[in-house]
Amino acid sequence: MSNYIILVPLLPLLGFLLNVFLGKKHFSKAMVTTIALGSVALAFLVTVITFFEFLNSGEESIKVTYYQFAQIGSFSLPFSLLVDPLSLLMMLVVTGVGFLIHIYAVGYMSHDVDYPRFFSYLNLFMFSMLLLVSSANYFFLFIGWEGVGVSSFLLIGFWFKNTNFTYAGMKAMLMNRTGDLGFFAGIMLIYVVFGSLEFDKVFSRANDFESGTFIITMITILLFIGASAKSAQIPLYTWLPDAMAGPTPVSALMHAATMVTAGIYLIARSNILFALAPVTLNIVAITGLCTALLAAFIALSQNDIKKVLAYSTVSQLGYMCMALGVTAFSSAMFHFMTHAFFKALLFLCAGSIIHAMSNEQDVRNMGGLKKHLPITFLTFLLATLAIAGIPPLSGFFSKDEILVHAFEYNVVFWGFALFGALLTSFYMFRLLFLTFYGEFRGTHEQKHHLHESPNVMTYPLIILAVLSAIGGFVGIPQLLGGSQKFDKFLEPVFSKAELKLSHLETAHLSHATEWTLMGVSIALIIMSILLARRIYFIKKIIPVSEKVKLSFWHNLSYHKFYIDELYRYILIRPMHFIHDFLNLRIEAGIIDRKVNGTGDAVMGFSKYLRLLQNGKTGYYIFGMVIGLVVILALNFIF
Amino acid sequence: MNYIYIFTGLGVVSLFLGLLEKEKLIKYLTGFVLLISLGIIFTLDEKGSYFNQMLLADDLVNPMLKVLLFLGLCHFILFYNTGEEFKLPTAEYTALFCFILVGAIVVTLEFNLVMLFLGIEIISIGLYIIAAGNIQDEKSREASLKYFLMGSFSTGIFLLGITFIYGVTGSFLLSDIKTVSSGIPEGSSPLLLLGTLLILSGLAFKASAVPFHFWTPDVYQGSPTHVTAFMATLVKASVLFAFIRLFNQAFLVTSQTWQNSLWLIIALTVTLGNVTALYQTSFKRMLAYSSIAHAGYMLMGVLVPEDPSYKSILFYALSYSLASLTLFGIYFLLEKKGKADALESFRGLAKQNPELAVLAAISLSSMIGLPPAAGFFAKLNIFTQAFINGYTLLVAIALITSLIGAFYYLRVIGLMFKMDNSVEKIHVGLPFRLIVWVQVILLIVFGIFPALIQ
Repeated sequence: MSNYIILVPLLPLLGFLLNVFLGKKHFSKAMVTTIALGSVALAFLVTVITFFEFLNSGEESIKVTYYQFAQIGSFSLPFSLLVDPLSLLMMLVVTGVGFLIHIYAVGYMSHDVDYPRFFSYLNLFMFSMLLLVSSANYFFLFIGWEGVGVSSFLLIGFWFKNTNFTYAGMKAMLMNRTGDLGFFAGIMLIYVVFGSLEFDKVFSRANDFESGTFIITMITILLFIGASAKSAQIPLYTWLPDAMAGPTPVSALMHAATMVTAGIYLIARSNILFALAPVTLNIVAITGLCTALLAAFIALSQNDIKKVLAYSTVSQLGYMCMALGVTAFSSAMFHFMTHAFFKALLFLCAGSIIHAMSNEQDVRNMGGLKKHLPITFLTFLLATLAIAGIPPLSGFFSKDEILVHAFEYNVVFWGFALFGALLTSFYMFRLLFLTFYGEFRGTHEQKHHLHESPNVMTYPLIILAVLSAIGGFVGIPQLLGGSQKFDKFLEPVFSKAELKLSHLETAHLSHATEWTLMGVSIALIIMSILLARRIYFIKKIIPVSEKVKLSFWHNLSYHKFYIDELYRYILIRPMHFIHDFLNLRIEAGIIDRKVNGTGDAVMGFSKYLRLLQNGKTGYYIFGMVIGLVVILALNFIF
Repeated sequence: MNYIYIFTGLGVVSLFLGLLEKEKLIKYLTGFVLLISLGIIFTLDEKGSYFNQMLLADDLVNPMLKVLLFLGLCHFILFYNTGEEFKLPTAEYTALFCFILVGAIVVTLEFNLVMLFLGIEIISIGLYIIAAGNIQDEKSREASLKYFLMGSFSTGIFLLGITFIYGVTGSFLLSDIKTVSSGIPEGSSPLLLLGTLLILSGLAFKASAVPFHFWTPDVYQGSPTHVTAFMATLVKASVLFAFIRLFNQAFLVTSQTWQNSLWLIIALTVTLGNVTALYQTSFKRMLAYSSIAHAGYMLMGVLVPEDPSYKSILFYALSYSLASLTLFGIYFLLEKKGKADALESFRGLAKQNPELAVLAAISLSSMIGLPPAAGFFAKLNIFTQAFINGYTLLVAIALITSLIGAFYYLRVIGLMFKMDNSVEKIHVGLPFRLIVWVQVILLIVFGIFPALIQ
């Protein structure tokens, strides 16, 4: 069955091609839906079957080579896919959660005139993402990486008539390109150093390198630059909140559950390289922690429901990044999985609310939605509890694992990470109370229009809610009598890296310490929830409008630390200045002249060469004879 | 081998059917026979030598036969209606089409200089006639006559070369020439060198390489479009196939003596072809120069003395021909709408005919050599092999000139998507649509799966 793994990316590609070429003119809406959803459902099915076969086969990883893509001198580039625990996990989540979101989108987008275009883009995304996670070499991983970038650009600017949305798409594109440059340089360096782009060859050759080798550090830093753009880490995170301009299912699928975790996947996949570069690991850990805290802090005072969730995503990605940095690779992947469940659910709930509120996204105009949207409320509550880390929901297990690893690494890390977790539970419950409790604060018209979403939208919510609730049970720690199935499953992928790191291994924490850590974090989280309840439920404080003067910290959070403004001053302004200088002085004055000069010379040359062709046969034959004579002369006389 | 019988027979039959005025039957029969032969060659490999080793079919030329038959089929279906358009009787046109195809097969299979000469003459005489297919048009008659005059001249040179080679080696057989000439110390036989150079020049004329290219722009522009398409694709490919076989089989041992001359020819060809194309305003003339340039790139494969060069020339010929046929086909539709032979005729094509514009754009990108179209790997293969064999300067020239070439292809793409003008909706027949789609899809498939071509 592993041989059929190619179907997983191929089916969505087929769906994309059919819908993009024929969807608008030749297919009915039902046909478009069938193709788009069918291809993803089949891909999911193939993944599940492969998954169980893989479990039974007992292999560590299976590489399927389909054909030789290019053979240039000694450089060979096969098209091969990889079936191993890590790629299977990614594929299961991408196709599974992706399919649920596709179903939801059928309801959400039902009134859009560009329905076929939307679904063809979604399928294009699925293809690229699945190629990204299943490729067995860096080259095709990069193709998928660029593919998700393009589909993200297309979907953020899906409603392109709104200029702001188009700009948001461009911002995402530009920031990602910055990262891609680093990633691409990293890939080239990998080829130079290891002589191959195949994962198995690169990693087995990397095994012979000493820890801390300069060139490996360079490679990993370049890879991390790519990863930090795609996974929205400091300093390249500001595109993600703006990316919420896209339709809500897109935010859920790409900008929360799957695409943004590509960077996490890249680091986890290259775990051996990172394990050899302690410096990079520290950078990754610190960047992750800072991002987690900064984004959580910003989320505290945002009023747009999708913006809160976006910053929350940035913050959770920071946690994953930090986990990778402290070499807790499988914890990062565990958190990726649970996060995919509850964050997709949160976004879909937000979509359901926005749908019911006639495209209102400001929480200040919501409130009291509990009785109007019962299913949305219950599922949202569950997801909120999960992300806050309340046992026994999925978020508790994955976050707890990360916190424990952070503690093993450095107590200060643990302290900050826990503080971030408190912020998380606070802003999530703030959002919950403002949205669902209290009085309705919208217009009369909106109130009249309030309704629960249709079944096609609520069923995915319910399924995701179930997953968010029980998804953590695959990774119950030994402390609670679990067997850590998840870690064991992923172990073959990370075993070599862990071997390399074994000299760093600190003593395992005693059970008593672990109990204490868990108790402290749960107690503090519950306290922060109670605080949110006190402010937003009992005191019924509603965030004020922009005009009122805010306190210093509040202001900083509300204006997102002025990062966008900062970038405008330190990057964009100087860029404009340099641009003007280069454009007016260097470009127009020097380069243009040279380039145009060359162009003119070629054109002028062309003009005269053209005259060689004057239409006279005798002259042509004369020319041929001259040519022949020259050739003979060169051979016989010289 | 059997294909020579099949298509000769088909040509004769269609002449007789022409007497009975069964024009439709001729078309269906020809299409059917082409399809069947294509089916056969893809299932049964052609193997063995015929007529006392005058022709030899082996593993290296088999893919070439497939390509020739496939291009023949595509060309025939794309332009199956042209006989009536140009008042050229269907029967005669079809018969000549078949005879030229036979010539192309003969030169591909040649293992004997006489056969090569015969094949080239079969092709040329057929082309002289159908180049004048649009008999009402002065330009078409002029093209035919010019082609005939210059062609005869080059035939003379070619024949003289064969004579010298025969004089030195005492044989027309490629394998004998190789054996005998390997016994001759380098530089000690001026006649052998002279013969080789004359043959090189004669073939360079057929492949339209500089300085024997003068006929190309005038003839390509003057001939009816479907004839130009035929010359630029199938005929050109077969000449290149003959080129590689002849030089690889017979003259490899004396390579030092002719390679410098070929080097010079290639450098001149790619430069002049691409640079002159820049200034053209006529679409057909531009494609004529472009075909000169592409012949230069393909000839780079002849410089490389190994088996992979067969594959890379084959790949290049196929990808170039597919793109070229598509472009000529689309231009032909415009021509039928009464558009002038000018680049400007493409302005605003995309507005009402997005399908045609996209197909043309993909073909043009393949000509430039942009991935994921097949043209990318075609150029990459040829350039890499030349580079590995030490032709660094030549590869540099080829790269720079192909960059210059990108300009005039991109200009057409730009014009097609200019929305300030609109070409009226063009009706595209089903067979035509099917074939151009197949061609463009193949271009992309070969660009993604280059290993498909062995």
